[in-house]
This record gives sequence, C-alpha cells and structure tokens, in this order.
Amino acid sequence: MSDVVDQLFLEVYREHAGLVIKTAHAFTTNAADRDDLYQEILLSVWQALPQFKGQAKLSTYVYRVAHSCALNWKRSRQRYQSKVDRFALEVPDLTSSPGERERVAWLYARIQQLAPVDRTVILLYLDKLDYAEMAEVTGLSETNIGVRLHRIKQQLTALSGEASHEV
Amino acid sequence: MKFEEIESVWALQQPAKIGATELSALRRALRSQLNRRKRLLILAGCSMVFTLLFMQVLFFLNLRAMRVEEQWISFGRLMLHQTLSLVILLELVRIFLRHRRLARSRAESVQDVVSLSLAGVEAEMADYRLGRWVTLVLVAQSLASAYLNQPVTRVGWDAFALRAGLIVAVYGLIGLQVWRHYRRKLQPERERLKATLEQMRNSER
Repeated sequence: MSDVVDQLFLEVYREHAGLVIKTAHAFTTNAADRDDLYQEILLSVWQALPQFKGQAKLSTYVYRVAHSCALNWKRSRQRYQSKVDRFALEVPDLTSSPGERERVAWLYARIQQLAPVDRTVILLYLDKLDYAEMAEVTGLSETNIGVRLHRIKQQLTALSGEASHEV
Repeated sequence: MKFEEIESVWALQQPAKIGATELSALRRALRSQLNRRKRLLILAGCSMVFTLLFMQVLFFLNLRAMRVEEQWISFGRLMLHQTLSLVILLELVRIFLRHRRLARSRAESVQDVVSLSLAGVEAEMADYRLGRWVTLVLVAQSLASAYLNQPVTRVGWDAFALRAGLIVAVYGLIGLQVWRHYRRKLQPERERLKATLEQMRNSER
C-alpha cells in the first residue's frame, strides 16, 4: 500500500505538472538547470504534500511550494537525487509543435529578465490566479501585487518590443 | 507587442495530463492490495472448512478409540465447535462477497483508486476487529475443550495448566502480530489515504 501512496503523490503532483514546468522554465536559463530545478521542485512538492491542511486549493499550495523552492534554488544534486530517481520522471513538453516551442521559449527568455519575485507574480497572473491566491503564494499584499503587475506588464511589453524575434 | 499577445503565446502551453501509464500502475497496485485480502479470506475459509471436517473425523475416531470421556460430552463439544465454525464460515462468505463487489468496482481516476484503496484498508481493519472477538470465543472454546479433556478433578491442575498455557500463548502470539499489523500498518495507511482523499476533494473546490 505504501507504493500506492508514493505513486499517488506522484499523480497529485502530475496533475499540476504544468505549473512546475513553467516555474522551472522561468527561473533557469539552460536545459540542465531546468531539469535540476524541475526535479527539486518535484521533491519539495512530494515532501510538502503530507503537510497540506486543505485550507487552500491544492494547486495554490503546489504553486507556493514550487515558487518558494525556485526562489531558494541552489544546485545541490546530492540532497535529492536518490529520492527523485525512484520516480524516474522526465520533464514533459507543454507545447505541441516546434514553432510553438520556439515562441514559448522566446517568452520565457523575456520573463527571465525580470526580478525573481516579479517572475513569480507574472507566472501566477498568466496562469489566471486571482489576487488573493497570488497573495497567498507570494506572501505579498494584494495591493502590492496590483502595483507590481502594472509595472511588470509594462516592462514585459517593452522587453518584447526591444527584442528582435522571429515567430 | 501588446500584452494580450504575450498572453496568447503563454496559452500555447497545454496543461500536463496524467499519463495512462501512471494510472495503470496505480490500478495494478490496487489490484495487488485487493487480491492479497482475497487470498487471505479464501485461506481463512478453507481452514474453517478443513476444521469443520477434521473435528467430525476426530469425533468418530475418539468414539472408536473408546476414550474415557462421556459420549454426550464429546458430542456436545463437537456441536459447539461445529456451530461456532459454521457461524464463522458464513461470516467469512459474507465478507468475501462484499470484498468481491469492492474488487469489481471500476477505478477510472486517481481519486477512484484512492477511494477504493481506502475502502479496502477499512474493510481489512473491520476484519481484524471482528477477528478479535472471534479469537476470544475460540480461546474460550479451546480452554473449555482442554478442561473437558483434562478435568482438574481427575488429573489435577498441572496438565490443564500446560494445555491452557499453550493455547493462550499460541493465540496470544498470533494476536500480537495481528495487533502490530493493525496499529503500525493499517491505521497509518488509512489516515494517509483519508488525508490524501481530502486533499484531492479540496483541490476540486
């Protein structure tokens, strides 16, 4: 039965894999780091799930763990490698064609130019979380998030305008 | 570039879905759990049938060997044993049929698998709770048989005490193992499954 529970945690995570993948993309600049962060977030989520009290949505909880992990991320393979190995996970691709992949990669490149907390805020906004949920994940006030979002949108639009990209 | 265009690029990413492979693995683990209980129930049922038949054979062997015990006492003991065993066997059949219904339930999602796992663990715990009372009855019946076989008025306390000690020790050891399994494995498992199910239900809201 413990195998069932282990696999269940994996499944619970996988239902929210998209947000973990997006976080890993937003906070890393190369594939190796992305894989490392992806797996570290996975482990953090796996470890944190038993402490989930059900006071918020599970997705919000996973966001919080993922973003906290991403902000504190350091390369420390030894700490988590053995546990992650048992899952044998691969980072799924969220796009369905090379063209889409290229456009999404371009967007991540712009997001990576933002400050870490701003990256978190914009990811949550793009994933359609409301202000209350964003406040819960980031620990910022809703007013602060509103102000930041306004600034981030301008910044991101400006960065997109500056970039000479081909889509 | 407008921010709406940025949002449309972001929307190109599809939500990651649960892979069929993982759900199959969960289903296999669930089947393995349910099959283990099925095997245990079949084993218990077969043991009970064997005991029912064996005690009848033993009764006739004792009659032929002309044991000192009064015939009506021997017959009374047999009837008591047969009645108890039959009641236990019928209960086992009832539990088995319930288990079969549970095992035939379809698990279409992770939540279904967890619900079924939880139902399986709770049913197993109920078996053990029932088993506790059955064990007490069987111990009492075994002690009564031991007493009738070695009446203290005829053979003294030593022979009876030896048998009674063995009976209590054997049942006690089995009971201890079952109790450990119940407390250390089943109870925490049930709590974990309940908590996980609760998480999943909350995440749906």
